Amino acid sequence: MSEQHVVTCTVCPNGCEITVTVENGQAVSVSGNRCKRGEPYAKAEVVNPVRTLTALVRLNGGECAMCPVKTSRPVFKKDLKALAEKALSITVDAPVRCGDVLVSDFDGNGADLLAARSIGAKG
Amino acid sequence: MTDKPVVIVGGGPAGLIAATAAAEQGANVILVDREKHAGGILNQCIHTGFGLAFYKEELTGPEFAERAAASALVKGVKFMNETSVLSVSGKTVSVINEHGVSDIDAGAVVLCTGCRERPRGALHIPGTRPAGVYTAGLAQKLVNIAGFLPGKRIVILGSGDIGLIMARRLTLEGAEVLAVVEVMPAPGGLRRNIVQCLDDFGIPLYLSHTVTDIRGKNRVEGVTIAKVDEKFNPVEGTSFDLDCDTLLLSVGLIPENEIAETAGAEIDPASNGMLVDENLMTTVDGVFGCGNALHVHNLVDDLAVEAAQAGKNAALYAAGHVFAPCTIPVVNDGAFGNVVPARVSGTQPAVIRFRVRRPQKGAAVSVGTFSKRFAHLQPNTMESVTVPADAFTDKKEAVLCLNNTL
Ligand SMILES: Cc1cc2nc3c(=O)[nH]c(=O)nc-3n(C[C@H](O)[C@H](O)[C@H](O)COP(=O)(O)OP(=O)(O)OC[C@H]3O[C@@H](n4cnc5c(N)ncnc54)[C@H](O)[C@@H]3O)c2cc1C
Ligand code: SF4
Repeated sequence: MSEQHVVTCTVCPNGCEITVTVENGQAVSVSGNRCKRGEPYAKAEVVNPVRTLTALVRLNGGECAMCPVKTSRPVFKKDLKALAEKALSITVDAPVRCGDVLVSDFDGNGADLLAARSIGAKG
Repeated sequence: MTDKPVVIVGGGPAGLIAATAAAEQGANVILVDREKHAGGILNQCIHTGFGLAFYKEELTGPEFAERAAASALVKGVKFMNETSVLSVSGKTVSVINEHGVSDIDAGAVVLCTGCRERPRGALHIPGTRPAGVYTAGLAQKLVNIAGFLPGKRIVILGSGDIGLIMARRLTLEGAEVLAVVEVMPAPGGLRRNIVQCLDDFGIPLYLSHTVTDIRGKNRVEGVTIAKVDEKFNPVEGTSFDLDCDTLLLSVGLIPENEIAETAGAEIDPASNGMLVDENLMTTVDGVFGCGNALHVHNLVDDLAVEAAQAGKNAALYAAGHVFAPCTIPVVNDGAFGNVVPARVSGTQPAVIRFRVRRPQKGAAVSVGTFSKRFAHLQPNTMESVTVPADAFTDKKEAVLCLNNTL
């Protein structure tokens, strides 16, 4: 049994429409991608889509109230909301450096939560 | 060579990259920004999507800003933060900070003041004026910097990229986004943002619809939405109500050019951007412009290329370089929303950046004897052509033409 899915690649702003052929639950081939980065994206997109999460954690004693964070690698799309909520429940102490690991294995699948901005302490 | 500094006004990505490029030419560079931290609008854009072309890596806005600021610092750019530029007169830059007002005698100036959001007053929505109506960029700042959620049940008017990005952000931060409403038949933002900001979260997008009424006395209680016809008039019998506590407006950005005006630089009435020549010099000698203050860019990576050119040219100018006179006006045949630059010299290749007014399939963009084919052109995407010097055969004007090739 083979079926076709059309997905929009979000890896870069070109937004190629990629057709993925799925056989027995396996993505076997793709077409329509303007570059090779589109292939793994499109295949994952029909089987188990992933996204890099960007979110916020609260900052204690910092120059800003919030510190932007991101996952060190893409997480399952279905987990995005729960993980963003989890991030918001975290408070870290200022100062933070961009790239600091704030929580390791944040999603339970090996993605760490990284600070995405350097923010100094208040005062 | 004078030792007068190149003064960069505005420390967003355009200012940081222009400053770095000027310093690379050996100029003494001062970068003035009114905020405590450089980075401009990028500091509130916490999503990824920056730097893929410029840094060959997908970064968030603040990460891009930190890299750009670090490069500027390494090249010896002097930062004057928490300092506002009041005016530019000739090449004298007046600034104010906690030490008071002072003047900087510059060898060249680059204006990188960014853009601002079209205010609510520019929209004509009937109904009450309750609290709970925000521009999308203000909401972005509230959520991402101050940690304040503007509402729980949200409707977004306008499908520009900021509106789409905010639909996802608000959803992730715990609000419910009920709808994104767009008056045009096509979304204003990039396709990838429709997918990853709306489709991912099942947020409905109503194209060819608008908000016809806002309800609520003190706080927004709901909005009425209706379909519109080709003339953008609401179609009778199509309206429906949504109960919400917040309406976000994502209806466009306009270049911020208060400082350019004090300098006497000519502004394009159509785009509100400064009129520049192929060297990105404004109509005032030695005053250059780039970034969103010139025309609103989709991508920081494109903006970086332009900013580097402006910074380099400003340094050359300060060092005494004389550019070939730009006497050939670039004329828009009417198919383009905006065209930069306004004048070329015809003595060197010129990069012409533009947006089309209407979506095009299979079109050629031509100037003089030069022509380039595009498979697709979208009003929401800035494009460019690099025109060789010898293509400018007509020395009186260079008409930028759009020809359908299908
Ligand atoms: C909400 C939003 C989302 C975006 N998303 C993306 C994306 O996903 N990917 C991408 O590539 N691009 C994106 N962009 C586009 C691009 O990144 C921006 O257009 C770009 O960052 C603008 O840079 P700029 O330096 O011209 O302006 P700004 O960043 O606005 O910088 C202007 C600076 O000038 C300073 N300034 C102004 N006037 C004065 C004065 N009188 N005195 C002193 N300082 C002054 C301000 O404080 C500010 O720091 C986005 C843009 C916005 C607005
Ligand atoms: S396939 Fe390649 S070019 Fe097309 S959107 Fe994806 S990353 Fe960009």
